[in-house]
Amino acid sequence: MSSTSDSNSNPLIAFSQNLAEIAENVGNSLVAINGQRFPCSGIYWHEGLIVTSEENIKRSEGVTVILPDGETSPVTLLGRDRSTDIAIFKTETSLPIAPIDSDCELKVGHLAIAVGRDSEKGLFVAQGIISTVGDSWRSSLGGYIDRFIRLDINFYPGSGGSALVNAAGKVVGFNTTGPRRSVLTIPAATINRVIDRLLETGNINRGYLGLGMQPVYLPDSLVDELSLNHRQGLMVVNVEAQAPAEQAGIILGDILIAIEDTSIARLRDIQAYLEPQNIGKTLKIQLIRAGLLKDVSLIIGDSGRNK
Amino acid sequence: MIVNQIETELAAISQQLRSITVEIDNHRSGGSGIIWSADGLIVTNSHVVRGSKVDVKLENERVVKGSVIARDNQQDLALIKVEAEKLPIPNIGNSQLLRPGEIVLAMGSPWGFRGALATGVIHTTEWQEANKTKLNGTKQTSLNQTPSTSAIVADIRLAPGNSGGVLANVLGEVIGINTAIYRGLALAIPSHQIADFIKSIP
Repeated sequence: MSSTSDSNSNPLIAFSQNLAEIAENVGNSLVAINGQRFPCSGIYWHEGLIVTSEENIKRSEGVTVILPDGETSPVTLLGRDRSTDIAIFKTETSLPIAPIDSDCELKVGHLAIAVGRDSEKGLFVAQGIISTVGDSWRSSLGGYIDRFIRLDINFYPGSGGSALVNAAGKVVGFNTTGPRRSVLTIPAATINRVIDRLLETGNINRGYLGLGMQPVYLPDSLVDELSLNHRQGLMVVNVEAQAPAEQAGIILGDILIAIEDTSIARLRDIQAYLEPQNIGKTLKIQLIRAGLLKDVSLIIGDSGRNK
Repeated sequence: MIVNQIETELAAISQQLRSITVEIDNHRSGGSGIIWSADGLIVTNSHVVRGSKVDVKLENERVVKGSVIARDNQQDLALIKVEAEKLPIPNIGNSQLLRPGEIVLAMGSPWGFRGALATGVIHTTEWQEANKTKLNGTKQTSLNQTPSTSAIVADIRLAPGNSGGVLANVLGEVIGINTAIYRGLALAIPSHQIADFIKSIP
């Protein structure tokens, strides 16, 4: 190895230059977001629209961003959705739109290039690999995320909202933290979908029942007696006043075992029924009360109106 | 296979860097050093060499006695002279042309494992003033508590014992001397600053 090595013949040099070029190119579409709970990056996603990770956002008034040229510019919060960790800001500034690919193939072992902008550090890069790729999943708040993407990468303070860039130089999502210090990526497909809805309403209302529940195992005797095909359910530990569940007659101690004739065992089994488009629809719920099976009908409420 | 070619390059650079990296032992603390001249000048961090006499272990396991002939605690740099000849010397890279995302390699003795290689990327190149002001007042999880330099900031995993060792680019050129860990990021004193330090010694 010597300094006379030519990048055409030396793949390591070519690799290194390519990484730097990718970072520089995507960096033209990245801003640093100031004055929030944590410093974070924003991606210039559409004309006049900046996307970031919602969990970092605290203030919605007087927010500014630092542009790639170092200038500071005001932005306005257009909407936020905690369930998918997406927030969007409007800006009057025009930047190159990020090279987004919402449909690219992602495989375990692919390069993960995280590129962001920080008010102090400027453009920054971390490199790792894609560690897990899976199907769609639901966040703990019930948000529908189109793909499960977990990275093996160093996630430094201020890396929230940084772009995950693939080896082709395309932005495939933004990075955020998951449970147990894992690094997750919110995929571009989810961002596109949520942006459309946020632009309509400013926030995303989900279905609402007004129930607090706890997963429980049913005693064998009860399973036998009622001829149940599974042994788990969700026990009601809280019913909010005036909420849809109370109006449907659900009371403390009821054990929910099925919705729409499908068994339920965990809270996330219910989340799928609470998608925004289901607000106002009627759910058929089967529960156990005082050792007997009972069916109730419940009209799904609107989280925005009932909170 | 391109991965195979990259691997071959990494192994070659690794061998080259190992030949110019020494392990420094002064009985109380240890670290790494970089051979700077064929006749026995070695640079390291001043926090690696507390006293004036050190043992320097070369790549071929040979241990030579060294004397600290200059130190600058402010810059965290020190120069050692050992009695030796025809030592391998590094190519020095331009530390002012670095780009975020560029691949870098670290060679040293993390946790005392001599000749250990780590790879990563340049994290940022615009943070120099900020880290200068920040580092002085902040406690670090570090190889060193008080660097006061415009450091190279790299996304690479270092450990105690990497102090004083090489940070190199993909050409195998020395671009810096690994000095501290700050919030998990590696900070290295750039090679042009090392050159200035050596020039400043009478």
